[in-house]
Amino acid sequence: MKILIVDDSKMSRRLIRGILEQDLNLQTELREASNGQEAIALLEKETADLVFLDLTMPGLSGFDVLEEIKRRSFQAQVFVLSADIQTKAREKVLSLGAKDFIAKPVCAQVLREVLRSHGIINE
Amino acid sequence: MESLTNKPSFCEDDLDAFGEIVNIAMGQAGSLLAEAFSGFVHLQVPNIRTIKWEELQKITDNLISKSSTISAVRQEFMGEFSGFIMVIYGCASYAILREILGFDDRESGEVGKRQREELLLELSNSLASTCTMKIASQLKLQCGLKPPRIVAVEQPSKDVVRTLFGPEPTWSLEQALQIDILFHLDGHDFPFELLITVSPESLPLVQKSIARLLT
Repeated sequence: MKILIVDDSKMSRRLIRGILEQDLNLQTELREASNGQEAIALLEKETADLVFLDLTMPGLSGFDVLEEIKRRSFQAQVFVLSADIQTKAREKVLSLGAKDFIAKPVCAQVLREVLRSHGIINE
Repeated sequence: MESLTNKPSFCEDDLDAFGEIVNIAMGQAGSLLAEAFSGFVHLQVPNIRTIKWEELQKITDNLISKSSTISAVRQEFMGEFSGFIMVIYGCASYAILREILGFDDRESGEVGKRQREELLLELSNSLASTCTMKIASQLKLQCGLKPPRIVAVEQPSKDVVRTLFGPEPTWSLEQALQIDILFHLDGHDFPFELLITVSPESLPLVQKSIARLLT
């Protein structure tokens, strides 16, 4: 499974990577992007099955990235992981095509439940 | 509280981790604000840096250039995580608050004054306490808040900026940590600003907590 983690925080990217690889034991090919521009550039080069996307980033925000993914019809399933827990933020990302919204701080249990509910993992 | 002998220096990883902690706290405060205004609040990446008192004072020059009048509320927090918070409203952002909340406080005299102060105190206290307590809880550091205090209500910025941050603290020659958060209400151009200054005496404990989180 090809996964792209997009977050301006190195700690956050490391945390998500750790959950996916160690807690969920996913066999993944993981890429990381520290901002929206980098994420779009990576998605142009190669496809991703899943994208874990932060919203509040310098430059292109997560909202912008979602719009771009939609506009260019990239096939990745996007899960937004964000500290922006406003109801309208959640509604907006879902309307822009995100599969789900997970509030930060992210923990293994919640991520597992969400991925299971979307049929991405079976355990 | 742990006594300090070494001056902490925040490396890039520390600032990155602390930034994520602040980000989560800012998200909570933004949500609270969105509920209060039944609207959407645009959040930006918070600006975090180490700073000395002298540099903090320079921020006031920037405030003067941004707004002719200022309203500001100061609140101190203490314990293992200590420092102070300033919530600063320029003239335009204060007018927006009043408009969105349908709050007519333009009455002159004591009643109007009290209403203006209540509006500022209530909102500032909610934002400041949400942010600070959320940062402290993630760091697992004890923290308590003193009551908020009005520093200025729509006063000419040039008259208040020199005293905005209060008297020079005992730690003025040491490095503090400065967090600058801007909240933009949807459809309005004028943000209001939350400045959190974490005192130097807290920084070793903050660093220790971050190190624990990173392991």
